[in-house]
Amino acid sequence: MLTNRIKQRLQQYLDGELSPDKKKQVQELMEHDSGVKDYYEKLIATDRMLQEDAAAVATVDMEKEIIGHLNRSQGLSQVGTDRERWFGFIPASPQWTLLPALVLGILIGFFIFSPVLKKKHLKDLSTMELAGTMTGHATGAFALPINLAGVNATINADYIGSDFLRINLHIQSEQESQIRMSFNMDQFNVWNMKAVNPTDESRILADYQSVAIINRGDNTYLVLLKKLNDAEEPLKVEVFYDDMLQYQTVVTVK
Amino acid sequence: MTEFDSKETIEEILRGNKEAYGRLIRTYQQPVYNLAWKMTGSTDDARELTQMIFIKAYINLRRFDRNRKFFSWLYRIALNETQNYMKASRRFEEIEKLELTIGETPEDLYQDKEKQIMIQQALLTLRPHLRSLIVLKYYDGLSYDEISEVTGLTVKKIKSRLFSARQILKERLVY
Repeated sequence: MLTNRIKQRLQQYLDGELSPDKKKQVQELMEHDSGVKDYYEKLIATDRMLQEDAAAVATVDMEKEIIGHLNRSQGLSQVGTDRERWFGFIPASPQWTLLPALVLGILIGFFIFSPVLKKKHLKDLSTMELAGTMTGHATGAFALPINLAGVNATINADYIGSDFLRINLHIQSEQESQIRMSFNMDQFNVWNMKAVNPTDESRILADYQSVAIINRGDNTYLVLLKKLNDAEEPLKVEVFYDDMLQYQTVVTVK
Repeated sequence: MTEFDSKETIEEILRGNKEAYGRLIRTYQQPVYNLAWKMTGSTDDARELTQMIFIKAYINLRRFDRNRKFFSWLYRIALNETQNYMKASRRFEEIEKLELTIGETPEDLYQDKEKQIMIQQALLTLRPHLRSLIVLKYYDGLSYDEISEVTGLTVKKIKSRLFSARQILKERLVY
């Protein structure tokens, strides 16, 4: 009779895990019981099918793909100086710096003080949402102070137009800390990100559904998310410190 | 599974050497991909997952305890990411369709492909915690001790679960 114990023994026999004595017992059992032998042959056949299937797995080479993605994610925080990254289009000589700076100033002034644009920013936002103080004049999507032993952070978010959510994170931590923001990849795309003062101890990375900021010291980071639709969306914020999750919350982004 | 000379390579990566991370990807991409493929049943998902797993590993590399084996840490990430991905996308039952044109493909290749699909279907009928053990043992060639390091299960428990998993597969695959 094929009991569960015998089935286990047969599996052990197949895996070569039995002592010589027990091995002999199993062999004798198979010689005298065709049902046991039949079961064992099916075990061998299953094992062989899995081994053959494993041997036929196609080889992959994803090194370039992954490194390329990492390069794109980190491009702004690791390549070149801060000035080169953000204002590289402005020539370095003083006579050429003044003119674009003037034009830039006029444009910024227009965007800041234009009542039409201001109205557009403010529309559909509640008093709570206006509590953000990132720029002192722009609309605030949310403001999140984080005060933990070892990590102090302020996360402010505001809208740029109706499509972009700009998140400003000011982080102070003596030891390495990580702030991770996770979101639904169907609702947000990471559009841009940077450490304001990149150092060896500041890293900012992204995948399809999260942005991770790894920081030691005092630094500020900017993340620009493109909102893909108008629905209210949760944004999960987690703070890791001393290799432990110390804080997590979910803010709703309207 | 041969353990990668991880300590030195990880130091290099943390110093910003992307080429070093490339070496690490080359060493582990196949087993990670195998795991993702056999767990999800889709090569597209497996590619996407493999990329996500290596990016996550890169992000968290500073947190890796260098007294541990690198592969078990990476596999742990791979297992968690794969299971989260499957929960999120609800793709338990999807498997790739047979896309071979008769005439272009030799019959034996067609039969091989059919057999692969049959095995993949049988694997997908296993619950994820059993399926992952089959994948780690057969497709990634890990020993019981290595599976124990990755999953945190005792060797006894692993053997017991593998026994159950192989029983189910035998019923599905061998008549």
